[in-house]
Amino acid sequence: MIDELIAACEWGSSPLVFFSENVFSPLIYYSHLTPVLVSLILGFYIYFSNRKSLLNRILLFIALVLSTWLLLDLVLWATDSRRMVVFAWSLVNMIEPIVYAGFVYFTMVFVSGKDVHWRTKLLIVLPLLPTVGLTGTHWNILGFNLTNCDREVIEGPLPYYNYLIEILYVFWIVMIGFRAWTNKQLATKRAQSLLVVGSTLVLLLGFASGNIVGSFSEDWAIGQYGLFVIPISIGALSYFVIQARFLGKSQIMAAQVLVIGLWLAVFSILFIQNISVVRWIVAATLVFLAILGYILLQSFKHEIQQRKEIEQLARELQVSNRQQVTLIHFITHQIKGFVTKSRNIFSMVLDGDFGPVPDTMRPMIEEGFRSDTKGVNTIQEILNAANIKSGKVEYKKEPFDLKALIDEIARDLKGNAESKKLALAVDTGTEPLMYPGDRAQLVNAFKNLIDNSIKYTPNGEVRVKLRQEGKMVRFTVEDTGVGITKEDMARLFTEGGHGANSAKVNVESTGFGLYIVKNIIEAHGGKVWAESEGEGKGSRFVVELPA
Amino acid sequence: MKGIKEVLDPFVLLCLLVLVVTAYTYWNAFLSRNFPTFTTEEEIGESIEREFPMFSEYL
Repeated sequence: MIDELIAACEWGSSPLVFFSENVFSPLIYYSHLTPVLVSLILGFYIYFSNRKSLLNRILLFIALVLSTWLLLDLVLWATDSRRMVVFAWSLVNMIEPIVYAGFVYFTMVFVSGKDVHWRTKLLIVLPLLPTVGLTGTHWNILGFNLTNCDREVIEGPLPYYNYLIEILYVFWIVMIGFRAWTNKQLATKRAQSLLVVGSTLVLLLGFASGNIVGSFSEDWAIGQYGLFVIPISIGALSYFVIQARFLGKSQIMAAQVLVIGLWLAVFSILFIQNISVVRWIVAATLVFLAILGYILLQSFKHEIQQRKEIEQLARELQVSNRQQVTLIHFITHQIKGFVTKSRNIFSMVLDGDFGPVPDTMRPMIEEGFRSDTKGVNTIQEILNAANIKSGKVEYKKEPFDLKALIDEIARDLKGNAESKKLALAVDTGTEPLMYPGDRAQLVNAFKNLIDNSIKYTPNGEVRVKLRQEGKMVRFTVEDTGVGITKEDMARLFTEGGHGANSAKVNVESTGFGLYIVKNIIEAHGGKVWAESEGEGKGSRFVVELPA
Repeated sequence: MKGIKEVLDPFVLLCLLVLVVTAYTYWNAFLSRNFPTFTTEEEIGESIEREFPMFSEYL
């Protein structure tokens, strides 16, 4: 009798399981095989891009489970075998909630950035135990329904339990999204987490569309269009997983996903003639557009607000900087006045302007004079650097004899070298070397360089050389001193940038000397640099000026 | 204890259970000969009443 009824139904045979005349429209193949292909390709691609990543493994797990469900569902559309219907239907019912559970796990790991606790995993899996455990029993499938030719089964109570836990899983995912939304600690990852939760919910909506639309309208065909959402959503999720390490770029990601998603949605309309299907796609696109558009707008709003705050802070910082510079300038000027006055008094005392100086007092007064002189020089150096930085220095360039200048500086500093028992060798050639520049400023620069070499050379010699080489004037000062480490070399000519090593040798260094030298030389169109083979191996400073 | 928890990952256990259940379902659907096929609405009603009297109104 059963065989007669089956024969009366005239089902088409399905020797290849998936392919038969029973599949009412090619749409079923598109709606099932496209997500399978996309899910598997992306799932494996993501997995092999980094096998150790937990998120990648979960995504592959979901891709495999989802693909199995889709293939079994395709079998249900195609098969003419009662036993195959019961088998595939049983497994479809079992796999469906596992997909939801997989997404709960996925969203949790994505948002928290780490694996969830063992107990939480157990909590995700426990509701599935009745689902899986009773799959092969009459609680899931009572039997095959041959009262019509629809190739369907009579279900037991288990599928209703499955629907219940699916709803709970969806609520769980919504809660994860809500917590991500309200969690301020997530900062830049918040928008990403929301995009992932949103994409997951859209995917699950598409996945459940067959059941939802079928239950309400008895039209099981139209819900199949929902499956087209799966490749888009799984693509978006894969994208988020890959981009997860680029935090703060959620705005760009949202814009990219929006453009690709809209393009795919509009492109798919070209191939659909049924107006109701077009309506479904347009409706889904509107939802998609609304969610991502909202996130994008919020993100832009947030960024504009941040930019305004940064601009305001920058303005306040500039004002504060100006005030500080003015204050420091004022204080430095005042101190310079006091110290200069004190030095002049010491000088006058030493010169005998106030009568003869007793021998017992002379060394102390000389020390006071030296100390005040150093103080004036130090303050002057700081003032020079501040003037250079603020662009207040004007260079008056007139031709003068550079050779005579270097000789004069060397003469002035000879005493310093001799006091340290250093040999100061000066080779400036025999002919005058006329150079158009600001003499006063260049005195400052060259004196600084030679004085530096003397200061940082405990023993040995300092060699100064000046030559015109073609269209360049080349000045070098070479010493056998403490040398310059690589670390110090990088900040040598920067403002306040004395090296750690040099600070030990010259504790009075302001760190502005070479900064001033660099600015003066560059103002003359030249360049200055330092060479050293390292600590304890001496150094060589080179200045090149256009002749 | 941590080691045991790593081995007894709930998702791994679930996958193992799924494989066993799939094998059993296959046996039940293809190899078992007492496979119920309903040819009338009455048979369906009787079966539901017999197996799940509590849910008979809903199924």
